[in-house]
Amino acid sequence: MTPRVFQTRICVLWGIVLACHAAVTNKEGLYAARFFLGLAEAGLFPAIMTHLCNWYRSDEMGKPIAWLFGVFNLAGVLGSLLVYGISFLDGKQGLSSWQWYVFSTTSSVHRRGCSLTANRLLTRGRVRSKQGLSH
Amino acid sequence: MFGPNRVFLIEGVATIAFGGIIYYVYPDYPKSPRTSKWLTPREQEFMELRLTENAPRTHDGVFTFQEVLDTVKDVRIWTFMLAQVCMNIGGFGLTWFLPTITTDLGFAGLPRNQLLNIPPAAASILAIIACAYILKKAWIPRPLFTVSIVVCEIATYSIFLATRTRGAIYAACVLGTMFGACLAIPFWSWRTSSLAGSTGTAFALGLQSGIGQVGGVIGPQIFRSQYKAGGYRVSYGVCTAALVGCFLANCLNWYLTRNLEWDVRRIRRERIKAEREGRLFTEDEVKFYHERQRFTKTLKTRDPGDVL
Repeated sequence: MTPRVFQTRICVLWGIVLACHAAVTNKEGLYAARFFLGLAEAGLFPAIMTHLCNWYRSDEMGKPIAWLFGVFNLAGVLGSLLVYGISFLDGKQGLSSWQWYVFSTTSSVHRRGCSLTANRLLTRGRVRSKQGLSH
Repeated sequence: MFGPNRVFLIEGVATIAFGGIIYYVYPDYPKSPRTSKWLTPREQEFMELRLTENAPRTHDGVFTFQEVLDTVKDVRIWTFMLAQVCMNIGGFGLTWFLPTITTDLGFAGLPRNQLLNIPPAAASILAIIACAYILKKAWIPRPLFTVSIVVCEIATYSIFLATRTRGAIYAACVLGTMFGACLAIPFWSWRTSSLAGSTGTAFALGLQSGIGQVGGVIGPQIFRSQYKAGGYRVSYGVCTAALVGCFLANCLNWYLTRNLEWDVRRIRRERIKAEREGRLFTEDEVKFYHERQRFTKTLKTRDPGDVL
């Protein structure tokens, strides 16, 4: 399984489990959904890190890792704004704090997604910028 | 109309759709057939040749059991794991419960407290960029860098223990989140230097991240509602203790990787120097399997003549 297929698998399964959260009506259901969310997501970070070792030397690893974590945090900012905005659209109808809480944490999917793209763009830019590789 | 159920459905479908994008744009290994679409064969060859001898490579076996054994036998996987578990326990409570803490402190109710999440994340991004720059320049050893950030984080946590002033607590939340976030940059960069082979690298990172989640299991237990009355002082005491554990474990990691990290930094500096002269440094490389002995067992520096 190549990194591309592996990451696609994670994203698709993650999306399916996330959509299943919509059917949750009680605490037990939420626990079950969260369990499967973790199961689907677990391989993401180690896989990205391993994949980076295929492309970068350890001494230059700071930059791609900074992109990865930087985008996680950027998505945190966007996620907070999103939740804030949606709360107005919702008209505060029956949203208890745990629902907000769960929502704001599961929306981390965006941050992961963004970082995948960022890393690819970065890899491409890096290789292209290497000097003395004209052919 | 915009209830949480609907939001989950929309998010789920968007994520599945994003899977489609990943399938088309995500890169494979440097010498995978697909990579030839955006790199010439010469560039593909170069991408692997420039890696150190321990790096995972495209044509490594799918699964090499020997590498799993070697990883498990290497004491560094366990010490790095210990550092990560401590780091997650110390930092987890803070990042996970920042909204709860700000609400309980009476700062702002939901959903306005969502806006209070933004300054910590913004500070984290700036600190992460600074960390990447410092690492790029190789000014200080990565272990020292990591340990220094842990010390800053411990200092920040002392604010939680010392005061209940709202402004100070929130400032500590911002600083604590920032140090916790930027700690990952030198820590994970440093971690990659002592990994070997495709299976070994994947196994070590998977095992370490997996066990590291124990921190995430313990984290919520530390912030129990019974500690709320005491302003979560007990919780922060436990988190601070965990960070001290992280500090000690990272000192041990530094000792265990002292020769390797010295070599990595030495080559990095040679590469920076060469780059400034407009060339690629190829004269020397980091030795992984037979480490150069820069330090003796007593940490006394050896005569450079013996080393090279």
